[in-house]
Amino acid sequence: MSEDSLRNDILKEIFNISVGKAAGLLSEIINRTIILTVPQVDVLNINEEIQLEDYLPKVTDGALMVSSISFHDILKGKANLIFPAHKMRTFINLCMNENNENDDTTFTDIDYDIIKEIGNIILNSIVGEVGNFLDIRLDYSLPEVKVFTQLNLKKNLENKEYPHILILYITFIIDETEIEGVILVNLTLNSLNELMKNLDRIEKKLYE
Amino acid sequence: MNKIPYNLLNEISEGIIVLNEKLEIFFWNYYMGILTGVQEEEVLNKDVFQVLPNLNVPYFHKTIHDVVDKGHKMFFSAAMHKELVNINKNYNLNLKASGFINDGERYLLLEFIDVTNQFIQINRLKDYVNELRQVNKELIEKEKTIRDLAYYDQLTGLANRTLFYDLAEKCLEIANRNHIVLCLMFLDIDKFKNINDNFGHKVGDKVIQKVADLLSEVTKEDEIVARYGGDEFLILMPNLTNYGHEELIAKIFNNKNKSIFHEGQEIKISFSIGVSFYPVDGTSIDKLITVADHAMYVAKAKEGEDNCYCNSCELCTICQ
Repeated sequence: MSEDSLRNDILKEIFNISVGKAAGLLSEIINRTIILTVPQVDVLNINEEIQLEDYLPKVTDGALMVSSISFHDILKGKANLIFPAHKMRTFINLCMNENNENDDTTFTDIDYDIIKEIGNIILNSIVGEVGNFLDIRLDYSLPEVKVFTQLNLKKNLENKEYPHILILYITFIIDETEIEGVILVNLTLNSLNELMKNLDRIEKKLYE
Repeated sequence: MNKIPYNLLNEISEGIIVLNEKLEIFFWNYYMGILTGVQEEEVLNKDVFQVLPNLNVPYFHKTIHDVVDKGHKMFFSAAMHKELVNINKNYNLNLKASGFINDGERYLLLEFIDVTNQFIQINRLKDYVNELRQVNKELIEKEKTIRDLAYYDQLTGLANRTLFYDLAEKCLEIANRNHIVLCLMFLDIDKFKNINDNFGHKVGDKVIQKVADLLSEVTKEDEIVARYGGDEFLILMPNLTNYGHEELIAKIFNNKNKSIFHEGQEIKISFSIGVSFYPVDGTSIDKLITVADHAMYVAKAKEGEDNCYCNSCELCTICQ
């Protein structure tokens, strides 16, 4: 197994535990069974002429709904939870117990607030886990929710201040509905180095 | 706490509660009094879960501890958390929870943001959109009815004369472009006047409907059947090959369902069919109909039932 793929596997295991906790909390709030899993994790360097959209295989069509939080202090970056907007419409209807036939992607402030709460719980679990992993307390904002086209999202994400992106593919299962999305965590070089150093420590322990 | 921020928090139009580390109420602003009907002096130093029992649920306990212990900022939406502070007052409140440190002590800030008006407006808007959707649905249905009335015969559901002309013109253009032969049949029910006179118009209508069903059944998908008027029908075969018209005429004449029953009596149906061809008999729809109509009268003049006549088809075996 290559060094990178072992690191990604370790990250995957860590994040699966944290999103599992978030799923438990969400299930309790909306009184339905929610399952959240992270089947894959990648680390990208956006300076290496990568096409970011290549890494968003199933969320590229149509509008995308993005919840973002910024964090600072020792670790600095931005975390974005991205889902296809039309899938979020189904999800919002399920959360509100509404059998709404309307599946358009026009969202009201009430819908945005629901996504804000869900994004808050999921992103807290991910960013909180990064903080735990590095043994630091992070200060971060409440999520901001926006709807983007793919092009606008790409421009928004490719921030030179944060050259590294941690990608978590996330699957959301609620009742019979499965929603696939991604979480992108933009990190500064220092933040990524901190993360990698800790992963190296875990790897070494594995071989001891 | 300093006097100025304390007064400031009382001026804010959102409910503010400050809790100490033990989750006891340290501050309760004026607007919380409006939201709950309970004033600060009644709740100070009391456990927040005792004062607001609707918050006393496991997920809220857990997230509150995450705010205190891990510095998380939490958001609870009014849509997913109803009646957060008072079950008797219909407020829709979003709740933000965050922590802060003052003089080395940790505090918890709960902000209840009133979004009731937002809910009222959005629900009104949703009702309005639903009404519009319903009106739109009705309009589409009406439009379809109007279209049906304009293009389809009400008694038989077949294309009417207007639709027939529209479709036939297009077929003629294609036939002209591709040098193909087109066949038009003019079909008339024999002795239909007698059926109306002897059994009444309602029975006459049933005969018309029966004929329409029969013609729809024996024609192919690309062939056009229309009610021309009264007991007259038109059939357009847009791409005639290998004496296909003879085959169709045979299917019509030999059909086993050429009768209806009225009060136990069988009323037999027979036809006279006149046939014209594009381009030999004419290059316009009107001309083709005129020629086929004349041919139909030739057929009608023949002896017996179920006769046909093709204007330009000496080799047509079925017409002899």
